[in-house]
Amino acid sequence: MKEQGVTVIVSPRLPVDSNPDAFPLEDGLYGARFGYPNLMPNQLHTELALASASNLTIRVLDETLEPETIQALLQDLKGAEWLYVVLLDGRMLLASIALAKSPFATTHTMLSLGEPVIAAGHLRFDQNCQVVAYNHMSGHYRPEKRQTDEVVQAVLTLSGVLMTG
Amino acid sequence: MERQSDTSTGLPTPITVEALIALGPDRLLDFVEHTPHNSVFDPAFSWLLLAEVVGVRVAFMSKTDEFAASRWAKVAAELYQGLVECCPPEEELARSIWTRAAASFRQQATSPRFPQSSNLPSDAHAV
Repeated sequence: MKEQGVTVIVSPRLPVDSNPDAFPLEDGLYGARFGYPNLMPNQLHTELALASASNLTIRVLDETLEPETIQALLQDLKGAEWLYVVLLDGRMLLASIALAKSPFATTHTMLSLGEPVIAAGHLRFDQNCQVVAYNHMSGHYRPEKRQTDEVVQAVLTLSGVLMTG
Repeated sequence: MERQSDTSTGLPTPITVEALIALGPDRLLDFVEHTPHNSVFDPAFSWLLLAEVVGVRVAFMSKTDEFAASRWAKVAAELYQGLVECCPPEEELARSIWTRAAASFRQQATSPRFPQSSNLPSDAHAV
């Protein structure tokens, strides 16, 4: 990979390139330029069956929610790490990593039901309900980092969620 | 895209996640540990996607065949450990989660209750 005239060696084990099936969006929310489809659609049935059997609980963060509702949600989210996706309609869906019955077998497609997204990854809240870290790591969606940054920061800011770090 | 077969691995070229899963846990583990340098992967392939798919398989199999689940868990542990080792320093959140995933799958790989699908006599575990 060439970046500003410098050769960057990137490990082949990380999802550095964005989704090869990404499709352009004309009026994507939060400035999103691409939608990212599920790269493993033939596994979706199994994933949704597992999510159902695990009673996976999904939280929804949306800028249209009342501030009181968002504050109550943040009390639920604080001090934990979450898988998140942002759907094309702008809703951010979150599922706890630690509380799932199969904590490391929860996939982003279990939140999105396999629908395309504009961002996906992990997100960490501190005990003060602030987001202290997030990333764009999703093997099923492989979103571009720059778009993920823009979308996540827009969703959180417009919902009144503070970010630090 | 026209698919061909790599004669050294028997895998289709380019290599897909589906083709690797079809190898089964033991051959997949061998591929993960000794990936041929000339391997050509499908554009949709990533090691993270493979790790996620194998992780789902572990959880699904653990309901029906704990011994088979443990073999898949060994592969998942190896894949997540590989992700950890290649994770850049600024990705502390991902490294933290993948480290715990590797440890969780490693534990699952070493603690199957019994081989449910084996042909051992039922009292083979008696001491």
